[in-house]
Amino acid sequence: MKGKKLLVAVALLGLVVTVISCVVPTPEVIEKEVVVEKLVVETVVVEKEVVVEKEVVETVVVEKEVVVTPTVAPTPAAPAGPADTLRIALRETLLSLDPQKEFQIVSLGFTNKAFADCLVNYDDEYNFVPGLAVSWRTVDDLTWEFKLREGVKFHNGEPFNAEAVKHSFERLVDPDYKAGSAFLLAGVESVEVKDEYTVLVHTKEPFGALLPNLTLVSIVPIEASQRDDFATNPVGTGPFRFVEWRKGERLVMEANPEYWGGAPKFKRVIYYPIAEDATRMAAVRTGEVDIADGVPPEEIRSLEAEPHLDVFKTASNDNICIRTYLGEEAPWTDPRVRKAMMMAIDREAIVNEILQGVGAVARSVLSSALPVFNPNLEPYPYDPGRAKALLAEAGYPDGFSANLVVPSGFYPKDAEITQAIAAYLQQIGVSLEVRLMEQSSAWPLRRVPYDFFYSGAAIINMDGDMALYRDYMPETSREKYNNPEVVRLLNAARSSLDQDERRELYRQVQAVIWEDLPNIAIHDVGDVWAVNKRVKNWRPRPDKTVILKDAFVED
Amino acid sequence: MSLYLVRRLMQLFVALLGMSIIVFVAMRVAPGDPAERMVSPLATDQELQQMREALGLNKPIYEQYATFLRGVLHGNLGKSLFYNESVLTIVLERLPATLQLALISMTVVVAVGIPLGIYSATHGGSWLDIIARMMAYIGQAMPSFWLAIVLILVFSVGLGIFPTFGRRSLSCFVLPSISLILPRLARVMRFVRSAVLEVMHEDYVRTARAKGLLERSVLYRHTVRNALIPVVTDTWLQFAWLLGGSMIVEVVFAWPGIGALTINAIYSRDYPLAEGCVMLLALIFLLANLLMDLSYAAIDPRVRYR
Repeated sequence: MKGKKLLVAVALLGLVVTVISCVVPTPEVIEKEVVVEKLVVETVVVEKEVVVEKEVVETVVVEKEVVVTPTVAPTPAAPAGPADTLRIALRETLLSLDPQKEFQIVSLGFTNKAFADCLVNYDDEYNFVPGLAVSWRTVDDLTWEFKLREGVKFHNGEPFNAEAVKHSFERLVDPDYKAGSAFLLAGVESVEVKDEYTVLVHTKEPFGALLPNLTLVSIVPIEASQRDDFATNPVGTGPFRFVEWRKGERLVMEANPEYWGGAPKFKRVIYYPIAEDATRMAAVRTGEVDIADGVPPEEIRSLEAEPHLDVFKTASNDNICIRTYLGEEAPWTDPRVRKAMMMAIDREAIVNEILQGVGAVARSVLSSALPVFNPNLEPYPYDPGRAKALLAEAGYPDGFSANLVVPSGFYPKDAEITQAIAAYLQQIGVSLEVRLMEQSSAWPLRRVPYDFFYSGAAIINMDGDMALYRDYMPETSREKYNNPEVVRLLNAARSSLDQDERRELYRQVQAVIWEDLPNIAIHDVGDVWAVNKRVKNWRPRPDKTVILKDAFVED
Repeated sequence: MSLYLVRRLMQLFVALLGMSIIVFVAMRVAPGDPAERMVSPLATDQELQQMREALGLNKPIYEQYATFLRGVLHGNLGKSLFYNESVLTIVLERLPATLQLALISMTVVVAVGIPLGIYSATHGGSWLDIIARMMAYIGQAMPSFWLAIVLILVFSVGLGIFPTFGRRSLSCFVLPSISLILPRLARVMRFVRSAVLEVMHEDYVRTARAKGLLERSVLYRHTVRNALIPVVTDTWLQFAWLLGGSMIVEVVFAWPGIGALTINAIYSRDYPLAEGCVMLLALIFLLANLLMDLSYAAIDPRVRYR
């Protein structure tokens, strides 16, 4: 009978589905109570009239920690990878291997640093250390002298010398070359070869941001860089040599045994672009890749539970703000309105719940990972009552409506976060219409009048000038922000050649901006990486660079 | 027939021309441009303008189109703005991956789907028929994105049998192919089944049986050949679609094919590359259409082209 057969077939299907769900790992969630001691200030009446405030340590059960243990062995023992090869999967797809061309993070932070070197590098505390330049000094306000490292060769045998440096600088700013990072050398007037290993850099005006910018300017060889295929066949002085590039598929590099900084400890690196989050995480789970970036917050717990993986979280140089357009008459041109909006949003909840603790509440308009971050700014509390009062004081007791443009998918959890923000603002009467748009459609809207724009800024060179100058100077500020005090401070910081003085000035700039609050700072972006335990001596960095030369692989 | 062919090829050429105008205009009318993507996020408006000029984007649209057309007539589809390489080279580099997947998938779909469909039609109510039909309903309902990820979770992460991504080995072909095969298999099976069922009750089939022909002969010489026309149409179109690259499957499996290339080119507003890819897709469809019409002549003796 047909009916009976149908029934059995359905039962069979149910069996198949059950089997599948048993095979797919599901984490078991156990709630554990964590006892936390919280300091509570208690007001105690001691004698009749004398009221004394006594500090009492009260033991309070504050949080329930969720511990996840997988119910099924998560992945069959990940196969040991090839002995001397490191495989890395990144979210971004490479567009060009030319160490000077691209402004993508995957280029600036990864391939550029693999194939090429810069004159100056950062150490882990973001002090300047020698790269291809062994020492430098300022001859006068407009001239810097760099002494170059001797005996270094490019991968193709060309010698590294002052001529190569001069050529590299000129190539970067050449308008025909169309480099996105040309602005790094915008303050440079000319480069002079003093002798084979000495270079003089002349700047148009005193340019304090020269050293930070130079940590991103790759030095390329004269002959090879003039070839048409340089973008697919890069040559530099870096720790890795180019082997093969199949676009969108993989990039293979091998160690440069003659690297001046010491040969890398493993032979090969293979980079795979995997844009889809689920696939990239699956690849690192099965052991097909050793390092993967961009771990989605909801996968952190289950990846941590895998015995062969480490999950590394790091603060990054990116910080998300809601930019407010101040160029036209609107409710938010009043700083009280902006402060009210800031206090109406529970940023702590956003970071803890939506981002699962990845990142941190923004305490300035730039990330706390930056050396110029000012830690002394008074945080804006989450206080909807005060927010509503402030809004009324500014003349908007019933709130107002506006729209927020969001470039979809660019920043973590942007859809969820902006939805939450709209809900918080609704509570004080501000009706925010969230416009999630395709990225290429959204970005141009930042250059025309808008209401609010959700965006961050990854400050690749970790420097205050990049973080603050363009956004807060009236000529270049997209928000049309104009504060004479800030202008004065930013110009002073840009032209100061003393790095300590610059840091202090940038801290002051942040203090002024924090008071004005032209941008409503939401959260610092944290980066999460999943790394196979066989990879030793490697950690992700806040400046988003992937430096592999000191890592090694051990099974 | 050859006159027909020549006419069709001319029509194809005109269609391509019209398509090129539409694609060209559509890309430039859409908000955002490649200059935005090429300069750093910190660029000033002035730097953006300079980049636009360097890319030739500030010229009037008909001038840009004229440049493009001139290039095409010389066999040059332009240079990708982001990869800085000839569009033709990039497209030809990525085409084999998509082709391989399309050929494998379509072969399995046809080799398995048609017999299954015929069996389903002739043995209605049997075990195989019921299971096949149920798989067909589910198969057609499954979104390919979901199916792809579930396959990865079950077979790569869960069981460790197949690799999760890429085109690095033969076993890498399995999961992407399955993602493409399953929905199409379901579709072809249902098509064939309903087509055969329809034809099975025609008078000429009854006549053939009455003549005393073997059932198998009745089936293949009379029933199936007549039922095949709608199936052929649909299969050709499915194949053409696969040749354009299934963007979803390619992105999920990090498969280096045309689909992923097209979608990235459009997102980053790489005008020459996006236009090249879309034109290629149009060409594939138009050619598939032509081949499809020609194949009718092979299958159905009543069809003649002048």
